[in-house]
Amino acid sequence: MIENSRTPIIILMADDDPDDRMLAKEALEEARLANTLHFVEDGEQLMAYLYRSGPYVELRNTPFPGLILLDLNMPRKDGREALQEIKADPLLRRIPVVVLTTSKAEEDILRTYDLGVNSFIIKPVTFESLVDTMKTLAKYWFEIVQLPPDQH
Amino acid sequence: MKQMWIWLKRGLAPPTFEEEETTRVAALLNTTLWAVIGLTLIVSLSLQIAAPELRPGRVGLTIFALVGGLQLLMRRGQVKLASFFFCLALWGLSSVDVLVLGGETTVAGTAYSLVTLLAGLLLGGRAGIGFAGVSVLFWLGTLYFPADVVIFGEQGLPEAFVRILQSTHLMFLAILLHLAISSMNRALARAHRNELDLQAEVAERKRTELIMERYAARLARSNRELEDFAYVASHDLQEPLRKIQTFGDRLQSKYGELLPEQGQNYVARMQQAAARMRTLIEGLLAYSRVTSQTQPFQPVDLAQTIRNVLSDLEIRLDQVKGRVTIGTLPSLEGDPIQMRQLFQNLIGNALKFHRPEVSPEIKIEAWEPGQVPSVAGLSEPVPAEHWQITIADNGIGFDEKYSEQIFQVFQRLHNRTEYEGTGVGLATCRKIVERHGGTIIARSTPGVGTTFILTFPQKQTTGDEI
Repeated sequence: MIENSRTPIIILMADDDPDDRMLAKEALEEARLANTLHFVEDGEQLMAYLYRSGPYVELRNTPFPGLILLDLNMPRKDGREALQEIKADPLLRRIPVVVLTTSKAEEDILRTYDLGVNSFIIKPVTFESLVDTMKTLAKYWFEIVQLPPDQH
Repeated sequence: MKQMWIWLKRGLAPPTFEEEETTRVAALLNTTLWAVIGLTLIVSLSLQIAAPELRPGRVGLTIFALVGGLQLLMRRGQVKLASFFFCLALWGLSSVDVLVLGGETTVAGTAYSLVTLLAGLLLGGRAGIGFAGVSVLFWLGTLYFPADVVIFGEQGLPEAFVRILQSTHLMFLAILLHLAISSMNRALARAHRNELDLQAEVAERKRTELIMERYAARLARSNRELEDFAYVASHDLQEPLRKIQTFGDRLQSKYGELLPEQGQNYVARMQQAAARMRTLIEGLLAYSRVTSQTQPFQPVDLAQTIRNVLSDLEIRLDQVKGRVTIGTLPSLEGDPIQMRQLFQNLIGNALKFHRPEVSPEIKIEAWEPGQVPSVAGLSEPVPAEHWQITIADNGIGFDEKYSEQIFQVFQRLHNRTEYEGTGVGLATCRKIVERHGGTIIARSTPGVGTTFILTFPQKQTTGDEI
């Protein structure tokens, strides 16, 4: 099925912290971006969302998110494990994943790039920089970069 | 009567000296001399009865005089000399024996054996051999003497005399053999005791080593737990702090104008406090990382390290118009990142605590072992195999009674409106210096300046790294 390419691209954010989710949503609004922001709270929910299983069955036949913002430290299944699964799946690995985390640890940076993450960003401290980051992300991934064609 | 008894006891007991060897020889000589006195008495009395024409009394007195002289010599401290004279006298008498009695009797045999044994015990093995050698030469030599040199020949002397002389030689030999054997036994017992003592000492040392090992392991474990705690605490504390800062920032920018001035003031102070807390936590993390995130020791060129630090501090140097003079600095074994941190903290401090209206001037010098650094009124020379580095500034200085306090974590001498800072910098410096096996102290005069004195070992021994 060919989708209407004017449907705004979905950004999927996985983060266990409700404050960070709220701030991201506000930053996106402040940046006046047209994208829809969906949230999941941990790695399990993330995989369920992407596989359209469990509570996310209705999402079948809807397009995949155009970008995944992934926090690393989450309960039940953390970002590193989820990243590994995503990049191992032939269908899911085409979705660009940007890690957005508080961890500055060098080994995290190395490991995630090893696993094939597209970018690694340390969560900005001030709200202003968060807004800027969202704007830049959207501009880069949705205007400059060519995303793979829409899939289900 | 009692006084005479005391004198007798004193006379009988051997003298003691500082060296154990000398005391032993003196004891032996003393016993031998008293044995000679005893034997001379017996012989003189016997001869007086058996052969008075030989006038044993005169010989006896001569011998007493000789022994007396030797005792005096010995007690004066000349033990070796007394021993030698005694052996010589005995040898002389034995040789007279040979001449008087002719070379065929066994008297000479025992006489010379006596002298040899005595010399061996008193003066050492080589002396014994020496005397034996001379005795043999002399005895064999008498075989070729013309007959009239031999004074009496066998027929001239009463049988009794010969018998008595033989007996005394034999007794003397027996006494000496006994002394020799007991001396040997004592030495063996001493050696055995020493061995037991040594074994006990080794066992004790092993026990102590084990205790030390266990203690070191416990200490290492405790340190690791503390570091883990410090790291986790700092790390986990940063997350809610970040929220406070972000939402405070959000509050200010989105709804700031809705707040009355007082409200805006409150939010501003809250933000400042949050920023301070962040700096404190970062400082604490850095402090805990001194021993948790380490690099192995390698040669570090201090001059290069300081040049790097100065380039990092370029902006600040420009701002305060600071000037840094560097003397010839050595290379030492250390953790390069920590060395950089150390000097960054110290030089940063010197720039920060400058006198108002006076541009900071910092002098960094190194001093070799034996030199006395010509700064801050120091008077102790640099210890061997160490370097001393002094960092002297012309800043505000401080009262030296705080010179230890400033190295404690979170200790400050100023409040935060006067000078910014967390009070962790110098504590980190001390921790770094101590990890390198060195010391750091501060000398200062308020209003004049401060000097930091770092002492480092030139070489690091492995196993000191914690």
